[in-house]
Amino acid sequence: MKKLFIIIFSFLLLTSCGNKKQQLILSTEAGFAPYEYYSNGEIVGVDIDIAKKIADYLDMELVIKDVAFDSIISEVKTGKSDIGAAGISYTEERSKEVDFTINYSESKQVVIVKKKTNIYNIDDIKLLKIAVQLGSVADSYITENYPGVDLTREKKFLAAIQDLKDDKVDAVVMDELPATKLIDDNMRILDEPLLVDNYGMIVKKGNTKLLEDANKVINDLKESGEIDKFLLEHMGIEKHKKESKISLYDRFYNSVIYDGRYKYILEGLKNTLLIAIGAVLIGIVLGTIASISRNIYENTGHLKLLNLISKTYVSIIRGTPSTLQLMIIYYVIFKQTNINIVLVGILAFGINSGAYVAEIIRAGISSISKGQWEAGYSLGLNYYQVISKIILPQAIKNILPALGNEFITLVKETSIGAYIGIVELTKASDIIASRTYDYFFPLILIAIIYLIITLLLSKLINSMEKRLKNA
Amino acid sequence: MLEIKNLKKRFGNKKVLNGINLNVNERDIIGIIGPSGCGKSTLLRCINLLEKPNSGKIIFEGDNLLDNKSFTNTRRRIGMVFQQFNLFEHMNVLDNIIFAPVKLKILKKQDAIKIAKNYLKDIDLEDIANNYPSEISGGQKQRVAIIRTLMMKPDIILFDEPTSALDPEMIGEVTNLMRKLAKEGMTMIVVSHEMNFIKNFCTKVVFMSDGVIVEEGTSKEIFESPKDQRLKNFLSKINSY
Repeated sequence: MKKLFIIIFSFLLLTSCGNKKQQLILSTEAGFAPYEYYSNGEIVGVDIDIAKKIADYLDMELVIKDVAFDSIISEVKTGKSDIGAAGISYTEERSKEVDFTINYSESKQVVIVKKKTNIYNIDDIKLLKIAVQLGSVADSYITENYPGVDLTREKKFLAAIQDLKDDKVDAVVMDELPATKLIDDNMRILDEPLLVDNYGMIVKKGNTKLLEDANKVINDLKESGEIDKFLLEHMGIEKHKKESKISLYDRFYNSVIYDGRYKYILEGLKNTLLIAIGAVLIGIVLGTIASISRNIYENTGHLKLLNLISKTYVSIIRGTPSTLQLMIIYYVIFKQTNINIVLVGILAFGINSGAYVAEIIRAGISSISKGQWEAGYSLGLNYYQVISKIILPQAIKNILPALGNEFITLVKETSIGAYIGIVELTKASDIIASRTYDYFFPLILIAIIYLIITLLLSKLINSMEKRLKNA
Repeated sequence: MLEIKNLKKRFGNKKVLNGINLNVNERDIIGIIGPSGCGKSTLLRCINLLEKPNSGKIIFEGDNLLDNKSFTNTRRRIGMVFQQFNLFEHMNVLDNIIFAPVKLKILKKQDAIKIAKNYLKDIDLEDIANNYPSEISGGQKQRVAIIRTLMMKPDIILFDEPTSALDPEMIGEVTNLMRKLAKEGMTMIVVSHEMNFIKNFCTKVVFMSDGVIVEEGTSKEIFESPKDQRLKNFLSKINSY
């Protein structure tokens, strides 16, 4: 018996190893060419090339996760990702949270200004308005060393450049490499860099095995000159076209058709719809349970515990921001598991929507006059017969408009899924803009798609209302 | 058949019923009159247990209803007709009438439909069987509500101001149906402001004021030789209209 057990066990072990390589999960924020960016539906870049070499060395399969830059450290810290790479500079503060590999690339933080200004020296920036990427080296360096600077922290360095274009700021501070690709004819880079620093990859504290292996691979790549080759390769792929000189059609072509970029929109649309539909279903189920258990308790005294849970659930969900709920569910509750991120979105938005649906149903029940209850009771019907056959059928008619509103809100709310790296519509437009440096068409396009979805939805609800009215 | 003993009901600090004693015999038609706020509607609602009395006894066919945990069985035997009709708005007239007996498995659906249609035919309402409550008049609604109650074969029917929400020309069609039921021997308790109807229709009239029964007697005694000053005041106010 024991022998058989051992045989089966080792067989299982063997097949599980044989069929599938173990995964090395890398989290990054694609949108930082040439280190990581989207091309033809895939995330590529210098960091990715290096990570692939590390995965090869370890005989593992590289899985790339695209999350917000602010989230990369917590991804690695919580063990949701094995390794993080996104042009992350070494800082003392960060090194308290995670371990850094040896640096693989040297980066200069440079100052970009408009050509016509008379800013030439680094010392001139002391009292300027400056835009940086939130959480980047430039952000922490300027905050610490230039207290007189009026700092604008943008989520994306593209937005920082846009601020300069629009004269909202006097200067932008960012890495030299993307800076040279981003500036247009009206801008120049100050000769002297603000700061020279080094990029490293990050791993979970105490994961010395991975750290040593990664260091070895990086060291080999550096010595053989391969990292420089990666850099040149990725910088040569696409020369940034200057916006002012290309026609509207070219911009549309660049944003939507070139390099199969509409695929991001399709992928985003698919995920947005998946999350919205899944969340609506979960929301209806949870909302019905929460509101009906409350009503049962109020009328019969049964289900005391469920009523208490429902009340707590509704107050917590209604009292906290949905972005926070999403992040708590992803980074705290599903901390250790490798759950599909779209599924996390469906769950999080479903749980959120359920609380609002519960309140809508509750309001719908109270909108039915007391006389309907009493007529039912006076005929000898019990609570359950009255609520299910007399009150709810009438309440549903009354709550349909509010319910429709909730679902329309839900479709739009899914856009915050980008926070945890879900490629839904908004994230899709972001990905495209991070390649084209042009926000116009991606944003307008997804706005139109959202509008079409919500218009169709309200039409559907209108026709349901009419059908119920006639019924 | 129904005996109410020292029934008390408070809403918060307000004493609405302050010790009611009332006997109802089979085939009695009891009219309850009194100024508004005197507790007459609350008394009806307590009998049907839509309100829970604070103390006292309601003895129906030998059982104290307030001892029973399940109200539903007694409610089937005590019908109630409301001022606002309270027809189920999402059901047509026929479904309103047959819903409870079919749901409670008292009648098979086909039988219930047959009986309901006969009732409707008796009062010339068979044409509106498939109409929704929102499509018919107040007088029609109240007659449908009465038939809905009759389907449960109640031993007694409570009428809570059945004509107060009706336009004057429709009051007759409802009171005519009630007269018909009385002739057939139905026991009824009626709260109403229709003094002519109470006077000509009821076997016993009860005058309530401030949560107690002040005076009771035949309609002749109450209307022609009132004794209590409060009843006299009440009747003179009504007659001055």
